Amino acid sequence: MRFCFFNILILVAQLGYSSSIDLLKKFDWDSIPVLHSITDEDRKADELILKELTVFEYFYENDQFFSEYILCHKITLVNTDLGIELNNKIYLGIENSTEMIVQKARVINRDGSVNILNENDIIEAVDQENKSKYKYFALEGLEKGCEIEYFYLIKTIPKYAGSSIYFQDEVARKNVEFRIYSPANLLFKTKSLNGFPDLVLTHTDDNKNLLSATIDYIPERKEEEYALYNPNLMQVMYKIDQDTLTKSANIVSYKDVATTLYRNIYESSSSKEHRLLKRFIKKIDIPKSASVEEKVRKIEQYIKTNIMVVAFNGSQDHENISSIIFSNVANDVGITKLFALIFNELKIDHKLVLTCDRELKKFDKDFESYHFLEQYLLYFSGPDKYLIPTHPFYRLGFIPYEFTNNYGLFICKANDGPEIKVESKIDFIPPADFTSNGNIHNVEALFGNDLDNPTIFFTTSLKGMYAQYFQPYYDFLHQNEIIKLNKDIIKSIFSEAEVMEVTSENIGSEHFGIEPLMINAKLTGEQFVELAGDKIIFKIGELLGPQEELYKANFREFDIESNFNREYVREIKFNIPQGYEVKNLDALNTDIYVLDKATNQRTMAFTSNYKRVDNNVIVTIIEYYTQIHTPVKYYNDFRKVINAAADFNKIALLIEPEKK
Amino acid sequence: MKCITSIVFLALYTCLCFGQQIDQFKIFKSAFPEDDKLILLKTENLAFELFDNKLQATSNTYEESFWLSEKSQYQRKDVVSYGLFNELVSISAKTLVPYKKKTREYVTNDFTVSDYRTSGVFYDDVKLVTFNYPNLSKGCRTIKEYSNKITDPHLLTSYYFGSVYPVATSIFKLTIPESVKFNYKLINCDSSHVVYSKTSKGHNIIHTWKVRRLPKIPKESNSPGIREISPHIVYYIEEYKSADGKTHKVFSGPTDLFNWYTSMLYDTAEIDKSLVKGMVDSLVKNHNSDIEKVKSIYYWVQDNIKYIAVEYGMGGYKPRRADVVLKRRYGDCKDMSNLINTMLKYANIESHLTWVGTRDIPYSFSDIPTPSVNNHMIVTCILNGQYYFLDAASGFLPLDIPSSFIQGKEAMVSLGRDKYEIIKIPVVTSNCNQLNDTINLTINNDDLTGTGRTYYKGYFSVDFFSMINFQDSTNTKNSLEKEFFKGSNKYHIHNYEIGNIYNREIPSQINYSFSIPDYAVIIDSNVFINLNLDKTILDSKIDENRLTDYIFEYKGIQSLTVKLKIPSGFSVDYIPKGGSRFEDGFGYSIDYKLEDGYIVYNRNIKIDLLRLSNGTVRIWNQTVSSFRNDLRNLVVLKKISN
Repeated sequence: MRFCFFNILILVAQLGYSSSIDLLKKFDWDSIPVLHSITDEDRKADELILKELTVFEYFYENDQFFSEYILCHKITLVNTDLGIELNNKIYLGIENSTEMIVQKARVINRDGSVNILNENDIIEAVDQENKSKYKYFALEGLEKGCEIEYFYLIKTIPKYAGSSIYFQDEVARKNVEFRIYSPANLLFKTKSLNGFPDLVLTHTDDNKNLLSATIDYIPERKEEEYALYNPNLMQVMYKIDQDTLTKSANIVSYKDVATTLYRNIYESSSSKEHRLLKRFIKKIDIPKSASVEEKVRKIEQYIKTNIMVVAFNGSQDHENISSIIFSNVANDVGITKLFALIFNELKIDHKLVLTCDRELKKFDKDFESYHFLEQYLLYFSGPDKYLIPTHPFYRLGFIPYEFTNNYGLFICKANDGPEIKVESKIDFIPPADFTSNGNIHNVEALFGNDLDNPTIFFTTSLKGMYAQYFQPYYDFLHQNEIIKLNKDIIKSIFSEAEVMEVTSENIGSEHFGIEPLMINAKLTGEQFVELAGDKIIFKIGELLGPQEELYKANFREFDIESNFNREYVREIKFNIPQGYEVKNLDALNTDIYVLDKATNQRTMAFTSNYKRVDNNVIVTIIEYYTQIHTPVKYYNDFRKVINAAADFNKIALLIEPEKK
Repeated sequence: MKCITSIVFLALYTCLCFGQQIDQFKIFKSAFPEDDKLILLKTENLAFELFDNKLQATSNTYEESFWLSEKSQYQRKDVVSYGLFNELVSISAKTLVPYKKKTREYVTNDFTVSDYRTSGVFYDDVKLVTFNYPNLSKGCRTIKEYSNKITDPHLLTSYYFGSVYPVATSIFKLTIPESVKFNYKLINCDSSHVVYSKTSKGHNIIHTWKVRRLPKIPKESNSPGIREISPHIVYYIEEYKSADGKTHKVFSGPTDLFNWYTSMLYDTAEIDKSLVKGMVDSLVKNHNSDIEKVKSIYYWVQDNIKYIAVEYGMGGYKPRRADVVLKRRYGDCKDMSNLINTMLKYANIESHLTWVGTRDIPYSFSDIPTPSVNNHMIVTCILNGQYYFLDAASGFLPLDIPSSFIQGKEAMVSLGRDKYEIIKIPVVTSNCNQLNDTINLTINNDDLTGTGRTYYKGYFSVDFFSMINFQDSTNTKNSLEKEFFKGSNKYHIHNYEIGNIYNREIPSQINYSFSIPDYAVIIDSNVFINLNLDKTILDSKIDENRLTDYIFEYKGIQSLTVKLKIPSGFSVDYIPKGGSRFEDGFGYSIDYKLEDGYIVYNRNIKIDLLRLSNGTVRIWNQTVSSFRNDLRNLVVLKKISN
């Protein structure tokens, strides 16, 4: 989130705090490194962090500038070739404004030999496009069993309006310590998550506040399927909370920032801009009789097919309405402004919403922090739908799933008077209902005289997130590319089948969210038939398409978290060829589900059954998941449903000559 | 070189001539319905001049495009790269937007420079200038122009006439003083389509090559390198005479190239002999034969020197000193080769630094004696007249085979300061690369259980080694299950044992026990089993419309033997008859046998070629169809009724 925090004023202290920052600047490693004693357990991992110290120091530089110093000191044990490959190059990406004070590294091999990084070997690479730079180097002399000691001290523009620091990843850590120093008048607030100890406030001899915590061991955390990763890691959220000099408390608060955010988006600078905006609206050509939802859709379609959204690159032009209309380029703020001002102009009731990616962090409604305010959304209470202004391939009612099932800050104008008063509240952004994200297949296997090669007639109908992956992109495809994409979609389901014919319906962004994307195909069916003399095995289960599985009962740590609620509906028809009989149709009946005991409702299920009419068999399969989050204690039940679909893949029917 | 139809270009030129009156977009769009843009004109003017007795050049590049697609607004970003030897002097770009009957011009102002970073090269001198075409949408034209200064006549590039977009006209103009002797090769160019002209101006000769109507360069998987499929001109300076009357040899033949490379081999600084010698002594002390010594040194370097490439300036050509590489424990191919070569010398074994190009470079040393012929360095070791090609950058390679990506390539072997030979790296035969999987299978109620043993030889072994070695050591079993998938996704490895993991000399091997629940289809008293348990290269068809040949990494033989124990109480109801098909360069055989209470299934697949011509793809696909059809056959066991 980029906006001016002009409502946070950190007063420049005139108190002349002593420069204990010098201590930080003087930080150094032990002049003679001592190898750590290593246990057999330590040797098993490819790499292990033996020690990690992270220090943030907020500081009035020369009693004038407020700065932040960050010190990281880490010692890593490297046991294997893979461990060496993962650790022999060290990259540090920093913003252009960040100053590197010191960066040192050394390799201590088990025989005691030490290779110290030569300062001249540190390479700096610039990336003007992303306004950042990299300090990186290769370490010399690494042997299996060595310890890599590395520390750096940087001075940076202070982050105090809310952020998170992680202390856990795929590598286990020992002896982890985190400290935040701040001047006596500035008090920070922190919140530790997922088992990291709470930070304890003490005071240093030179009258600073020190928040700190240590922990002896942090286990590694691997990614788990159907789970969030980052939000489940040990971490600390921190923000400035009080300034005792100004006697201000609760400095980082949503109430205050809401007005700033509102002004950023809704304040139009000139009457010329207003005129341009009106002319722009005219071009959209909105029918007068259109409903609110129709108007919003029309506006969204026009803007998203005409204005390109680019990353923030410092250019104010991308946030200025006149420039945006002229150049057709906007950044995230600019495009949100354009939408919001048009909706205001047309008196379309809506709210500005800010939230964050739930795959990276859960919006904590009890810890007000600006780092949750990352993504703009617009909410329309009439149709009860959300719109994401910044993503060209989404439409009203469908926003990226990672911005749903999370809280957000909802902002709107509180009055109609000339003086802007803003109302804000934290509210839940619900995920889309499971029926909105539908993946529907109709399959017919037609056995003719050629028993071993049925013809497959297939239609897939994709809704919501399943359509989002493809449907809007058709706008940009040439005819051959459309055919190729249609075939690729079919091939992703039936990899070996020959596609004889393929057509598609409802292609393009204007259909997304309204009509399902449909692909119809005629395929060869050899792959679904195996031969055994005069009998055939019909692998009907594979007509379900490839299924996820969780067959392995792996150790499970995290709660289950689905990307989005969803349903899969399949209808598979086939004819029993004349003179043949099917033996085991009952194998097609399955009913596996999880029941919410409180409501007696199924929260997820895989159900299949068949009916036979003369020589035709119709199998109906429904699978659905109606909740995003499920506690880990239900993991085995969840597995059963997921695996029921994968088990169905393995169902094969025996078709053999009728016994006379 | 295939040509875009003339009608299209008739339309194009009509349009260029009378553009203002005709809707350009409609004409171009109907001519190029499947393309995002058409490059109207692409030129490079390269002018050499003698300055201060040195030969240098200025290159001016111009590209004018017409944008045809709805995607255009998302394609505003463009990038120009440059390096220390072709410094960027100037750059400009603009968009010409049609406005009523005129055009409005929008000039790019925001050029950003970044260091180029890739995973393959740790650090080099390549920089990227990134910019956006303002206000770009379909129907617009864009122009980019830039000029480079080329400071070293040894390091010239090539001019590619085509692009990944169709090109209407492409011109390469070379202005060169009379006193400079140069040469060139037109590659992938049909001479009837290249219009060449030569004029003179003062002391300069101007050569111009012009090609029209170039179709886009195809982007296809497993295709030969761009140099093999794209029309281009490779030019190089043979020699030049400077104002002081001195003749400067550049690249008049392979000898000059060798001399230039050699000038970078011999570092004046004294190396720390004791460090290198000490390491050599410790490695060879227990070995008597030369071959054992070579293996000991070669494999140690492969295992202990990690690949990190620093290609800054002449560092891209000059190997670092052996002692430095040894101490650092990292280096690129040149550094590792120099270390191995030095170590072998200390062990009194004949070895030579060797320059070679990877298989995507189709040039030979005699045709194009310039650094563009090769991009890799290895060591050639000669023992009893036998040549070995040591490539430490390919981590797990045994001594007896070269890396797969240089098979069949020419190599320049340095035999001393002024002696070299050009030899051909052999292609490793399919017999040397084998993957043999043998499985004993039993039926246990509804499940299949079994034990297996897989042998890997040659490149299969190299691939297996690197797969195992770069796995998270706590997750090997899961990785093996994914990598060696058998039967269905219920395939579960119970135990495994990897043999010979550190010995490149004998085939690597894995023994494993497994189960595949629900794999066999059991209906009434019958058990149906497909004994073809895994996927192979012959399962995949190749697009028959592809324009380029299909390249295989290596030749090989893959076999699978499955011995299914006939369970007691069961008889064999049906055994398939098998099948085979062998074409020129590839094929398979499948057979089933009854043997002492077992059904034995044998499947052999042979790929005996490195390149499948695009004309042969149809035969490949017919073979795949036949193979897939043969794989559909099941073994049927029947319960013996009492």
